[in-house]
Amino acid sequence: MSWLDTISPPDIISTNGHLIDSLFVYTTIMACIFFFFVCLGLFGFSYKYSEKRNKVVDYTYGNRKKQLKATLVIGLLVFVLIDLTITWRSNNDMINEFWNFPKPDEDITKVEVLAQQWMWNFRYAGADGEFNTGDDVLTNHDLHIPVGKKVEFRITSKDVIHSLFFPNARIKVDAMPGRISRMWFEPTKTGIYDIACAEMCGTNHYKMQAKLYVHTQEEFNEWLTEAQQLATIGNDTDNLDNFWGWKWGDK
Amino acid sequence: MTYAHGKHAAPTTFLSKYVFSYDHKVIGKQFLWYGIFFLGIGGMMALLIRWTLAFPGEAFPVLGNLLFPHTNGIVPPDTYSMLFTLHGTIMIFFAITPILIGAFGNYCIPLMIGARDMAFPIFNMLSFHIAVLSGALLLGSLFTPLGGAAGGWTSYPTLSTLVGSPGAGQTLWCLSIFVLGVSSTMGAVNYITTVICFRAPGMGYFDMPLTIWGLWLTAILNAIFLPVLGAGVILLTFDRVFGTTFFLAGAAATSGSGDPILFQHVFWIFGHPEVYILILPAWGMVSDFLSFFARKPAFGAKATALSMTTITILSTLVYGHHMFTTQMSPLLTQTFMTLTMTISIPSAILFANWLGTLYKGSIRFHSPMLFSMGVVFVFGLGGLTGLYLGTVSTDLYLHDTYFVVGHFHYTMAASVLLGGYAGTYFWFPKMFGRMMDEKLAKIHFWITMVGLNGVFMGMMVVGFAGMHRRLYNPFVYEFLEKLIPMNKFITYSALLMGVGQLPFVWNFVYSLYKGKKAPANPWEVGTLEWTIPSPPIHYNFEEIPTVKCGPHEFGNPKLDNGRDFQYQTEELAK
Amino acid sequence: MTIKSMNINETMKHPKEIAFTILMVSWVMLFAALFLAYALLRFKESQWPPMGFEEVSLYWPIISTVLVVISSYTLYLFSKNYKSNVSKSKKYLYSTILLGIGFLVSQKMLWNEMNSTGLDVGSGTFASIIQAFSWIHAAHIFMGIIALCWLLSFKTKANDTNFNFRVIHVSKFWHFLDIVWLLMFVTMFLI
Repeated sequence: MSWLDTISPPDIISTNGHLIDSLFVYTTIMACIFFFFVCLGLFGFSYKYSEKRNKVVDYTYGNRKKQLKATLVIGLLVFVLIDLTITWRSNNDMINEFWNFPKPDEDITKVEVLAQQWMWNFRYAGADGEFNTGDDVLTNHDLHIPVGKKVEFRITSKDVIHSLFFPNARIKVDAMPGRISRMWFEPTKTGIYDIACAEMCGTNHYKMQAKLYVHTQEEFNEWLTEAQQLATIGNDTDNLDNFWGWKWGDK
Repeated sequence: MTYAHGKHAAPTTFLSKYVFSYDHKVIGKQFLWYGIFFLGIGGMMALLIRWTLAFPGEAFPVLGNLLFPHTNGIVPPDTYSMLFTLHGTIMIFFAITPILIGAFGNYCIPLMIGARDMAFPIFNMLSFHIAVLSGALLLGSLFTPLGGAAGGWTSYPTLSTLVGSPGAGQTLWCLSIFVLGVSSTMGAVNYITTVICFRAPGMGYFDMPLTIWGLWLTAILNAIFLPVLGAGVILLTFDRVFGTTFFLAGAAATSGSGDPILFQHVFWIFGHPEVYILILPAWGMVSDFLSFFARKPAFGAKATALSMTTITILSTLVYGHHMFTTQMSPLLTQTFMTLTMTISIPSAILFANWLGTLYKGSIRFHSPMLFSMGVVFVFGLGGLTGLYLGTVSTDLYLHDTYFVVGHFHYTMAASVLLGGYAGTYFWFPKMFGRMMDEKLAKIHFWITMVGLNGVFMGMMVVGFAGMHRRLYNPFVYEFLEKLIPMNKFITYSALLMGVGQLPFVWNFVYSLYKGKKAPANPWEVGTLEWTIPSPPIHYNFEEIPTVKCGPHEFGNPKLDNGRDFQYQTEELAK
Repeated sequence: MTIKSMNINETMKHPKEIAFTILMVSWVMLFAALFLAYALLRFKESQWPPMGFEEVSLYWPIISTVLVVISSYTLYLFSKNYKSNVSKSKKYLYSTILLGIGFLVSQKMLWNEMNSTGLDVGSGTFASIIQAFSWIHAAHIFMGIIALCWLLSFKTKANDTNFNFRVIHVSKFWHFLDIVWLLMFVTMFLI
């Protein structure tokens, strides 16, 4: 592992994660350019105009006209290169991707998520396609999804605020008691990845991790069938605590 | 206390001189000691946090067995939460606020505007005593059965309600913050009034040193937004003590549901202006010092003042960028992102003016100047990294990671700390009548600079690699295991930075008693506080000065008195 | 030290007035934050009061409103008269203080009544808001009453500038609390 690998972010496994990285890179380039000029001024002037090298100072508060021009140029540069570009790009990314939730009739994997101190509960609709029924598949700590298909999460929390964080998909969203938040991404790579809680949620916050298993569609179907069987046998329909889910349409 | 500041005799007893003094200079020094005391505690906490992150499960050297006997010197997870909560709270409210605003505000405002004292000296004294009460409440919370507050310095409900933290520590935290809010608001009212009413004759607003501008804007923000935090923590206290459900929702809210996000709104309405409350005094000082030590008028002083004002106004409108991951409506999110981005324009003007001041100057690298240039450097980094977090999409990834921690430490910790040191080195001769040692100051500067850049740059690196905040042991996550070496590097840098403060402590204490006697004007600067002896007499000015020129009159070629600067009391050389 | 040493001309406001204005801004922000919290919590619900809760009877709130409005008026009369007519203004000041205490009593009755009908402070946001906000307001009224007592020495000090400022500021504070109560009354009990 080279030195650079030890500090690089995790692999991207979603269709839109690269957008965030590319905006990050753009912002970094801009930041470097502007910071370069700050350093140039700071160190360059320190050298050139130190007391040793320059005895006579230029007595000026800045010529009003020159100052106005400089302000305008700098302001415009910052406005166009930084503000406008970044806002515009970020806005596009959000509208076209991250806020562009799957349509109701799309074929997607639907998962309901309940966060609690200190674990993640996941709920799949099961065979009938309805949440909060006896055949729901419930898992905790493990999230299984098929590759190449959009997955949408509806997230809430039982106790304190948590945050569902997929480092490999570059997104997170808070899980808040009393609210349902949404998130989606489309996995492109199979494998096992980390899921983290990103919002301080108490002493064992650091232990609140889960694993993301991205399967091929066949493997996923296999897993689901098996889990389904276990669920129909194991589900105690009298235990109301198991029915923390809600109807998918309810926002 | 009368309107005309009747000259009463200087206090003689120990109590009236050092404890119940109305004198703004004494109150300023009281705040300085108070702030340095808490800075030390907060710094130690930072080292404990860093140790845990780099060497999870290993005993903290030397002090560990003393502090945590039950775990053989290892920081336990619940204590770790308390440590980062109190580190944040102490550094923001009990170290930076007292030093930058309490100490320099009190000490410098009357001296720099040519007044004999603050507008309301008794009010001023009470403000300090209330701050002491608040500090006592906070420290007292550590000794409650379940320990101090552990919900992060932001104390988001529902973690900070009884659902997440049952102990009395969190309640005391709320009370302590409320009491501190009262103290700071009193101080702010005093500062604003003093600046408006007690400027020396002839001193217009743009003849004030920029330090005063910074402190004044800070005071305005404090007076407006601290009560909002006050309302928030009162409601949080009610939730904890009286069983209300303002911030509870979901299963925990057995009787009707409130909204945890409400607290975030209230908190950040105050919280975003707060970061400018902390940085504005430092900006003001830096703007002045760059001009003082470049021996050149402050380039575009008026534009600098106006940029600071613009940023002050904008800072009140952007708080939503702290809440992007709570899924506010897209419209609100876009608005907050756009407004946040516009702050970069006045900030760029500020930087241009700072560099414009250096251009064609004759720079003297005394310690205040070094620290001021340090502020320009680290605030450049801090400001630019803010761009990533004001952008909604990159914030989705970076929110609540160490990138955020690195960013706000650059802006709030590094810049403010360096600004505070610049101020301390600069005004120490005036405060105590003795000079600090320049050589030690420079050693202090370079070690601090190397250390803090290692720490905070390192934090941003691990943040981009995905390490999130407030983890007791990040390496339980597989994707973070590779970050152990980097975390060790950060911790070593932090230790270096900690060690780097020792020369300062030594220098401060030694110079206090044995330092070279300071002349009235060691830095050859023309603002009003340098027209009087060091340390100043009881009522500052024998005769209230009349101001005839601006604070940055350096290098005027028409000057013929052998100096390269003019006092503000002198007619502008034409 | 004389007056000329300050940068003050005739048109400039007295420092105390400026300081008090800033203090008022702080208080306005405190209550504004509370109203913001109220608004957000209220609009979150589909109906107000939420299901299962009954409106609070208007009996005590109306009495409180009447008391606090009259007290504002008597305080206004006091501030107009205290320099010229000692006996009259004494009556005005005492009735203001009594009305203030009466207001506190009527608030206490309101809380008692709410508690007895199951609307105690821990019974959900609807009751919490009314109770908690009126507590905070009542605490300020209490401070206001203490401040009013501070004016009792008006007989000997009627021509003291400091005392005149005290009257102005206490009146402002009292009228401000009056307005806050009116806003609370309208938003919490009427609509």
